[in-house]
Amino acid sequence: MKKILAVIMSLSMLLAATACSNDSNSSKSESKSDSQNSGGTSNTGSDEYQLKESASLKVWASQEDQEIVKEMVESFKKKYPDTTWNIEFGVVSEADAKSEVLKDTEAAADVFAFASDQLGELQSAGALYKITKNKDRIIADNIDASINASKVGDDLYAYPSSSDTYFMYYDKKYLSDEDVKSLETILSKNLGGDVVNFSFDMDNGWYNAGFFFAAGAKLFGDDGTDPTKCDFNNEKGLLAAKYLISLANNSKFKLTDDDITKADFADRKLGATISGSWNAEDIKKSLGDDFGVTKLPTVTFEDGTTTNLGSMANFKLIGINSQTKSPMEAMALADYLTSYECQKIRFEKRSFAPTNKELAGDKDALSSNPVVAAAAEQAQYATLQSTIPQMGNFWTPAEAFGAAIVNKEITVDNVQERLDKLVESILSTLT
Amino acid sequence: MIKKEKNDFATYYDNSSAKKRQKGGTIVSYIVLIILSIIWVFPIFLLILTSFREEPGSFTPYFLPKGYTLDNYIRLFTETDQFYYGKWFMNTLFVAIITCIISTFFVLSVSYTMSRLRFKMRKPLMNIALILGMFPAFMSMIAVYYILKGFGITQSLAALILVYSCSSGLGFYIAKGFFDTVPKSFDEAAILDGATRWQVFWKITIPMSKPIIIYTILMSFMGPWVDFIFASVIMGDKYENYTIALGLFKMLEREFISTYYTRFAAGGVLVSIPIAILFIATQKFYVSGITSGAVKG
Amino acid sequence: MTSIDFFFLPWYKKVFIKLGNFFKALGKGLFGFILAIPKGIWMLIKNIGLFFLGLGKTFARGDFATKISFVIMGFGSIVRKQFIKGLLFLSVEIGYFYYMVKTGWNDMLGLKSLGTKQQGWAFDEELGIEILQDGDNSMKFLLFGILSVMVTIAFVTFWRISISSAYETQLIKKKGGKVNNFIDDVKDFFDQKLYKTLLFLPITGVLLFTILPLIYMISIAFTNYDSVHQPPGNLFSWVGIKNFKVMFSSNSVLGSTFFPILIWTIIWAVVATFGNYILGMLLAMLINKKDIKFKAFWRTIFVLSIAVPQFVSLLLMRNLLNNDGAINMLLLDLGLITEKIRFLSDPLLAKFTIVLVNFWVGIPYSMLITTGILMNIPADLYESARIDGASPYVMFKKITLPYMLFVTAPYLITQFIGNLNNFNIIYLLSGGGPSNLDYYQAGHTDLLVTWLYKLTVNSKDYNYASTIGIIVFVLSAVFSLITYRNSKSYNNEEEFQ
Repeated sequence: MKKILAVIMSLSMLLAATACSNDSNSSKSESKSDSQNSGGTSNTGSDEYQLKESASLKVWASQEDQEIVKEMVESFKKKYPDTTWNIEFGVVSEADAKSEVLKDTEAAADVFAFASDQLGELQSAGALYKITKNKDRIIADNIDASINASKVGDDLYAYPSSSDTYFMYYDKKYLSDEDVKSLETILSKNLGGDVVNFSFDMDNGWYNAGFFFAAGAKLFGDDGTDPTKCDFNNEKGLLAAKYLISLANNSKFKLTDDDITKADFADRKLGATISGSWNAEDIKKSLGDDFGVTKLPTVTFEDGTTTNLGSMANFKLIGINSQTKSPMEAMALADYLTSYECQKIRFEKRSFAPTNKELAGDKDALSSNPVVAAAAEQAQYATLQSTIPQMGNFWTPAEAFGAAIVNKEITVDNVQERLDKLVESILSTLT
Repeated sequence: MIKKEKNDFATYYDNSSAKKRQKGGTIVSYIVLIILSIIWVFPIFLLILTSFREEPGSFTPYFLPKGYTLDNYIRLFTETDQFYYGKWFMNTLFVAIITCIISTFFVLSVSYTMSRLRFKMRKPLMNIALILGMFPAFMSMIAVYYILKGFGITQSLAALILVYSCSSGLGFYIAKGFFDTVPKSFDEAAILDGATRWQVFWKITIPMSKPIIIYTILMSFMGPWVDFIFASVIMGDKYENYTIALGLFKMLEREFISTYYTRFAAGGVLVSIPIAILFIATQKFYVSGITSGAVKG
Repeated sequence: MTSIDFFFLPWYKKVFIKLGNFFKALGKGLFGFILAIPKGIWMLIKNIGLFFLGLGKTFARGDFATKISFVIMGFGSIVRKQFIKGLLFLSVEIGYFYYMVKTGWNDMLGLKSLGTKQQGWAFDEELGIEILQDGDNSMKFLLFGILSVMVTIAFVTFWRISISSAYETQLIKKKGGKVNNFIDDVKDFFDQKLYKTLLFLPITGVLLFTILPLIYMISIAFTNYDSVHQPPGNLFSWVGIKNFKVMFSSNSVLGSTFFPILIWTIIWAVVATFGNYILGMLLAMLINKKDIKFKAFWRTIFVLSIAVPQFVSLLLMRNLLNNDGAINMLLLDLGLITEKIRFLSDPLLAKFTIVLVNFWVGIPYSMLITTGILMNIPADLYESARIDGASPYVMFKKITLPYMLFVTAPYLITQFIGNLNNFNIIYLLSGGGPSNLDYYQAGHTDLLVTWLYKLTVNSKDYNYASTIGIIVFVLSAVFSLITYRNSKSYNNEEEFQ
């Protein structure tokens, strides 16, 4: 119990710490924005939303979230009974939000959920509404890292709703709690038959970046905001790439994706895998009592250093469409959807780790959920996904790099040259 | 147009002294045909197999399903909180019928005009049509979306109908090839008798053009059943107005695939049945349509 | 060189000569295409000149009513008691001016700058929040600007027609002839002018849904509408031919992606078109063989694969051919392989897989189409060849193939262009993957069109996507010019009527 408690605290504390180190000016800039904002809010002197008599809004959320979002909206309507609400729902996942919103911003939802790596591009395209109502309270309520992921410069452009990273699921039938502490131990086991020891989605930048982070390489500079910097090709990056190459050549490793992972666990053909909370329900169902979940294991690189595997963390945010006809009402709704109550519902029903400080500090509640606990424990090794527009350039080269390793096109002989190419592609600009 | 099998050219390989070799050759031919048939039918067989599979998920680490069920078919029509298969089917049918009426009219009008009527702009117009056909169509889909938005009809079936039928006039080449082969003497006789050109078109040419009309109808009817790109650009998040192709395509997106894969297969089987019947019933018109323009060359 | 000389040449010389001819034709086609541009411009200038010349003549010879018609459309008709016609012309004019005053004029002006006002924020005292101040939307400026130009051209055409009509009635009146009333005019539209009636709606549709979007997209290729200049937050502007320069320079990321993809696109189109064609023909011949029974049954089996919509069969194939897909599972279960075959994730194998799957899709079509034509080959050709002792292979090469190529040339051209732009099979099967580290936003199996699609949908680089679209067009146009203009069906159109 005590252990979990410590772990939970680390979620908020350490994410906050990374955030601080991310932006050495953060305290300064925050105070600046405070003063700016207090000038604004003092005019009205009210935190209450001034709502129209009736408002029509459209909300986008992913398929899995539809049910709970509808529930939340019902209670939202009860909270503001003086307004006649006409709220529509649309299914657009966090991952697709950017391309759908940018296709036709006017037709997109007023309030939509999106992943924090899209923030930069959405904001620079002018698709996000600047949030000035109750800005200080929102900043105060949520952990600093999530607020940093919602800001461009000093301006707030989204409401944080949950944090997201990946960790490890394993089958207790094959691996013990001790085994899963190190990737080398996992791979050294002989599980027999056609059971694969370890799988992960190597040709996906979201996952394979974890190895680079573990080695100490940095994407877009120390604070993740410099579009001209990426040192995946230095000696640390080289260690990570070589580790990936040897992993790809290991017959106990398998390339996977969400679908295959679920099928493998359902058929009990897999020892351990890297995945996130979105697969928790399915895997739990397949493994039953043998369901195991924990932080990522440690890896030992070629030079003998042993570190915990890193991960990429991002936040699910809720944004407001810049073209909305009812910005005040949309802000009220988005604020509510990311409030303490709603984050609690997401945590309870969907195992989403909250960003709300109060909820993230509520150790009793959080300790009850092993998936969230694993995520929290992993959080200390997580690197926050960059929110600058250049991030959009990361995914395809990283995917190509992973695929080339799996295809054995990248070997120890040409890895340095390919790493240089990877960095060149990530940092490339078209003009 | 195709004549009956009157001169099977394989006969000319016939040689009584090589009868034995011939027989061996026949067996080899049958074996090749059987192997090829298996290759061609295999995916369709798997589609049907998957549609009856009991356990969900897009991948199974084994080949044959562990259980069989009709559930996938039933759920397509009963679980309509997210995917409205029945409604999509009716949407597509509606769009296909209207599109097919408009397109057929457009194609026949243009091809008849280009084939029979002579006017100053004829050749230039034909060349322009040829050129327009060479631009990749969906290069302009975003612009099409905004034009529809200008009309205020995005996310509606009317928008889809416009997109599918409005440019259909460009596809007149095959029908023109057909009209070119219909003797002109009928027209001239009718005009001498005092018929207007409209009457010639409507009362003489159209009734004589059954194969090409069926071909045109068939082609324009099929379009809406298979397009998912334009449909997805136009419909966006409006699930209830999706067409069947777009809906099935959605089912295989990352967040849906593991739940809906078997239902996708069931949906695929259901949509294939009417198309298969239609196509097999009208395949001779399809062939004569494609080749009518060509054979005369 | 006579054909007999050619026949006796060693094979490599034959290949050499054939290649030479091909490049000669290619050069000719390119040359023709490049020549067509100044020719087109010259024709345009000439026509504009003729337009004004005709206009001037009409004005000089026209009487008072005709002259007034230059300003008030339909005046000449109304004076001569063609009321409905005149009023129709007048309403077109009023409608046009209404549109121009309301938005059209501003739209046209906006075309030059594509917007100047940037989106901004202003503090709202009452609500206590910052409120968005809408800026100009360059994309809409461009689209509606083009629309206003098109409307203007249409109006000028109508204006010209109204003047001609006024002048014609003037002449008829002068001669003392009977002026057509409205019913006569309508009747005329179903007889002498039937082509106008029949073409009106289809051409309107094409103008609105093909030409307008196309001009828009072509214009985009000359702007900087890329991921960093996206509306509504940003403005974009004209940049001239910069995008083409970037695309063709081999040291830019785009250039180094463009050329390899172009080469693969051409290889793909050739293999897919001719592979499908020849294999489909062989299949048709196999089924046509005299001693094969149940011909209709065999054909139906192959036709079944056409009947399953492509997106269903291809998406299914994508799963079957996955590393963990059913085909690998089946082969493992049967013990035929020990390691999974990486059908779609190995760069080279993926290309083969796609070509093979395309055979699965395409062979039934070409079988269906060639079946009928094969039976039409004159029997005596085979007869005499057989007497000369020709082998089946020689007969195929010397009789069947030339005959078929001759008859189905237009079909082959459409197939080739269709394959250059074959979006479905690549997008549904491999999605262009596996990704290629050396490419910008593209994978090993991407064609130019799928890359174009990715650039529009994923990375929102509309300007480069349009540039690619134009290049694909030029490619198809050159190819078609080479073959189509030389084909008999184009040149001898009247012969068969």
